[in-house]
Amino acid sequence: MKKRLVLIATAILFVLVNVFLYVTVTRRLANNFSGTGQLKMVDVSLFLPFEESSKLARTGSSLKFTADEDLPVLDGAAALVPVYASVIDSCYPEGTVTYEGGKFSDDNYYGENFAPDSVMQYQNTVRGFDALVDGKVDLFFTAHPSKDQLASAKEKGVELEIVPVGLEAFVFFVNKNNPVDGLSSDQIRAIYKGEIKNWKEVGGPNKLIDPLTRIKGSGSQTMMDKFMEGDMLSARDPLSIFGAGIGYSFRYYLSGMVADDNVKMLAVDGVYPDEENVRNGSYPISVNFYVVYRKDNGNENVRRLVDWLLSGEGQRLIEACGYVGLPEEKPAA
Amino acid sequence: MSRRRFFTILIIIAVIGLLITVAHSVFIYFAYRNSSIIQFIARELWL
Repeated sequence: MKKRLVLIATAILFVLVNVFLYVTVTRRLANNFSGTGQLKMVDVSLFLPFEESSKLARTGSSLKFTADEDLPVLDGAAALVPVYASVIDSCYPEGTVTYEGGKFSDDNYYGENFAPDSVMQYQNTVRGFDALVDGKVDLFFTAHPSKDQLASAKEKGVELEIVPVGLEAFVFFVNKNNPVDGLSSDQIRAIYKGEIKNWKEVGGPNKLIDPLTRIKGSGSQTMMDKFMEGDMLSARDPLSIFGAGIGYSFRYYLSGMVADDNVKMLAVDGVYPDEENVRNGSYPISVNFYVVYRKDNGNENVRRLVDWLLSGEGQRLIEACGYVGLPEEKPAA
Repeated sequence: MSRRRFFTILIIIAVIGLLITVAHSVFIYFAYRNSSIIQFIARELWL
């Protein structure tokens, strides 16, 4: 009888360990490279130009390209899909976007793609930037390119124009049930350096902090590297995976596109990252987002489009997309 | 149950349990690296 109990107890022990792992970790994983994970990426089909039901900003444009012109091909980071899709919708002729997406494959991690001759492409930050450098894309909408990306372009002998066209906030977020509503910049840096390891040290519950990071070369990781001034945590406590996480992203991507009610943005240095605080500069980590193009790009419509983005019309469109335009003295016209 | 039979069954249970746990942990290791951090935080368990 005793032996039987030992056998049953051993089996139950393994079951409990795996149930614990599932509840605390596995259940929370949403793999980017799967069909399910695709849901958390941008569903580009919601932002297709010239579709009546698309979630695009339509504020009007005096710049109207015609089909017989050399039309710039646009690509960009996930968070900026609504912006450049709205630009195409406003300035390009119908019939220039061919969407064939939705099929997940090893070569198409995001399950989204466009025909090669489509003026709209979506390859996200890492692959899209390479496509720009390789001359397959004319204009790339992005957070500031990373040092590695700039070095890679330089190595290929490609000079880039990097033009700020709008403002965005770099935000930190936690689960909505986390009682911590704000952190100072120094506290955030200390967390990501591994100096603060428990939420109780910043006024929260007695739970380990799980400081989550993003893939190298992504827009938010590049911004985080800049925020940390290169002093980023290299290895973290493995047990922190069972704690409560903190992550970072861009404001509109988090609150406007993914819009998951189970996470909340944190105030930084006492300032919440709402639109007004980003615009007036009181939120401490407001950053520009950019359009990038090759200096040797001979297509004059590229520069026309950049000028339009900086104009009052372009800035209105950017604001209507949910972002913040450049301060008023910046727009060219 | 004989001592020999007991240990045989115990070892089988332990090996199967360990294999499942190791496979589960390996899956976590790779999936965690590619997981959406927003979803990972959104699905946290707060009791």
